[in-house]
Amino acid sequence: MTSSVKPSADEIRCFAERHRLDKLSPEHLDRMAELAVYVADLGRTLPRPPDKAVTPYERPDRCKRTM
Amino acid sequence: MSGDMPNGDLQTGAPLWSLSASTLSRLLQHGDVEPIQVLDAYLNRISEVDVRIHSFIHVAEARARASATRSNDALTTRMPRSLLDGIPFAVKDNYDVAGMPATSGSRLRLDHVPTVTSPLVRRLEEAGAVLLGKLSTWEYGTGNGGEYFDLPFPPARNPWNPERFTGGSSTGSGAGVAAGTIAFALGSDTTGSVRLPAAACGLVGMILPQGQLSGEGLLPNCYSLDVPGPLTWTVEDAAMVLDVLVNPAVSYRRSIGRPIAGMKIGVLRGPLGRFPEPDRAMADAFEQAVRTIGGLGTVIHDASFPMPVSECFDVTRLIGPTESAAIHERELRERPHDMGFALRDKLLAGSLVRAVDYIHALRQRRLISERVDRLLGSFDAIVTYGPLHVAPRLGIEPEMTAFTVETCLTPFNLSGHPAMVQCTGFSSDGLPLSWQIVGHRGGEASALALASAYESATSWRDRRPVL
Repeated sequence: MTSSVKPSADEIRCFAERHRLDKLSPEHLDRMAELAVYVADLGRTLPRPPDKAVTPYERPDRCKRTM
Repeated sequence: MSGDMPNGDLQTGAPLWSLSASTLSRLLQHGDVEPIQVLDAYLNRISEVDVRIHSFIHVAEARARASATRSNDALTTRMPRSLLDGIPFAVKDNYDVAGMPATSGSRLRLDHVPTVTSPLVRRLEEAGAVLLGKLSTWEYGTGNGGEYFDLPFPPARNPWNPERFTGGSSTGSGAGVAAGTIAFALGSDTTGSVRLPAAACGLVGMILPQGQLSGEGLLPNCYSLDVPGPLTWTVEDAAMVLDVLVNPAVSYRRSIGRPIAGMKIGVLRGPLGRFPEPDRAMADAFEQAVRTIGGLGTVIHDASFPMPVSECFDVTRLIGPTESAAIHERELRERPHDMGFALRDKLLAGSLVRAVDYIHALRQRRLISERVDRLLGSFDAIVTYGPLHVAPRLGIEPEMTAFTVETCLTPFNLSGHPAMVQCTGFSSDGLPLSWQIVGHRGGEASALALASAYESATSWRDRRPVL
């Protein structure tokens, strides 16, 4: 699987500003751009449970599901 | 009691700091030593060796002396408050203790002095244990595996070889108990932070399912995974500490020395996924340990993790940083320059995780938990590798990261089962080796019984680091 594309300096700066991370230095932002690739790849390659009924936590209104 | 007792075990001549907490307890309860002698032994040990291993951030001598005096009163009137009465302990610096600095190893909290003591510390003090101070930690009790020498305190060093890493993030807890600067310690574990330093430093480190030990007064790192846990020299020490900490009260200590013949043990060596095979010394010690418990009458079965171990780690890499970024959002917004590289890196990464991926990680966690439950349904306990590597060179980032990441620890953070590591010997260059024992939910006693039987059948507790 190909790796995600590293965001440009402008893209990561806009992302940081949108999320009020406005005290990050240029070095921090550059590192954040590198991490954006790593995080996106990690999320993309994480296996998805095969069944939509697999909830992230046990719900009191469901019978115990067996896998 | 005499005031001029020698500063050591009367029978063996071993210095008091080198004894297990359970041996110290017997000496104290029998009146063979006084709490102040025990405390002095640890204070002297700190003076002698801590400059080389940096286990402590803060030594609270006056408070400890007052506490030891109370222990003396309790013991001399034959009214000990517990088996821990008079035994010094210390906690990772992410635990709150009223009136004592709680920096969490960070310049963000150098001035932070809590006004309330965490319930676990309070419970130990009420049981008569003597709080001696706060121990080194990776910043905020977390990190990315590396050591960047950019924090306000020097990193703790491994007493078995001070050029080696202690394991993180409860770095001072591992270093201190191994070096004998403290009898036992409390750490915290999100993806291995109790068991990694215990493994690297040749100790017992144990976690219980979330909820059995209070996390109140402990700086959060990841709401859904954080658990506190003790680091001790022996298995009996761990049982003694847990007997005081767990609510409602239990007696794990009764499991010490319990026969293990007939116990059905699952032995898990993989699949490890993309992680490498364990170091040869670690693997050899693991196989020898399996033979040892087999020789004690357990019934050994080979089994497999229900998913590649590296996939479990990947799940924690999405859950951990995301929750940390939420927990410490204000600091990242207001003071990113005051953070060390490792914490900032983790929070930046967590700020980038999509909510969709976080939810999928939580769903995967649930599947993992169910599959581990099902696996454990066939056994009384399972044994696995802990970390795959021996303690790496401090500051050599790729080695350190590999040590932290390439482990079989995270499946049981995700599944929420009781898990412990213990020493299985030493490499040719004197570094501790280890394995991991995992019990059912509520099966801590079986895990402790197995670990205790193994410990009794081996001589690894006869050796202490030379500093």
